[in-house]
Amino acid sequence: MNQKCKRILKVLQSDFPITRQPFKVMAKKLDLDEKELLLKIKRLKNDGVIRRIGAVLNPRPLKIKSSLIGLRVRTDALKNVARFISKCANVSHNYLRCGDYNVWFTFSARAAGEKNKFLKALRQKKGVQDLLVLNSKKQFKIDTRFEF
Amino acid sequence: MGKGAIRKILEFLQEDLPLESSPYRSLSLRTGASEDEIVRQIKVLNKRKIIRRFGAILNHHKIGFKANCMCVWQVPKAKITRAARLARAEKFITHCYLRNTQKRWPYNFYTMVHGRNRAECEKIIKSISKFAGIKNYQMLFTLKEFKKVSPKYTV
Repeated sequence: MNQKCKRILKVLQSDFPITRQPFKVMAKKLDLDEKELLLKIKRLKNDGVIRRIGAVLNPRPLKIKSSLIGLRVRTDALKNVARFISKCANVSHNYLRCGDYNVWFTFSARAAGEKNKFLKALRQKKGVQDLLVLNSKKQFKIDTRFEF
Repeated sequence: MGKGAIRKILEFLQEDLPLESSPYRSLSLRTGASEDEIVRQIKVLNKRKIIRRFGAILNHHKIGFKANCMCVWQVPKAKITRAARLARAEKFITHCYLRNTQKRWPYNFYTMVHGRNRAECEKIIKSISKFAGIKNYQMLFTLKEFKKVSPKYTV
């Protein structure tokens, strides 16, 4: 990736202007033509470097609670269990990790009932040996901007 | 601005911003609010921290961060502040949380560590372990990403 793209990504990540014509303002700052900038951003998106441009909301004021769930799943059942979890719209992240507890996912919902219902169904899946529900008590840091 | 229009703005912002010179024009037509009013409202939502971050979300694999580790720590109460301070200062740690424990799971402190490779993650973790004086931890490296999407909240 060249320096020009890196600079574009840096502004897009950390300094995206909230204004009627954000790309025009960005282009001026980066000393680029707006059309050229938009073309470059489109390319970075097509290449999968940019996942999305938009807002990440803060779940707290919306009264949404999220939990981290860790599972111990038998290897032969991994595929099925993972698919069942990923299908759920309340799940945004779902990973296979090394360790005894091998499947980890996040579940967010407004009502606790939704989570309990899902976890009850999950516990009954073949190959699910144990399940940990880990609620967040305090958030010290959340900053997903990458310096590179 | 009415609640309905604000809801529409938040729904719109959780999608992908149109890559056009005036990205709020379509939203303006749908809500009846002018583009300037929409921008003003986004600034308010940002200031009130309803919006946590506004901008591009990058794919960290594609920019060279191939390794990802959720490190879980057993941190005694007296050492939490210090451990949190170290995690906050480390730019390759994106998330740091305190969570409840369970009898069979004593870890209360969670950090997401990113690196170009596993060795880079391990180096960061070892340094935190040393400076915070915490010996009991587990490094849970990502082996596979089954799902990763921006959470979309109904508002």
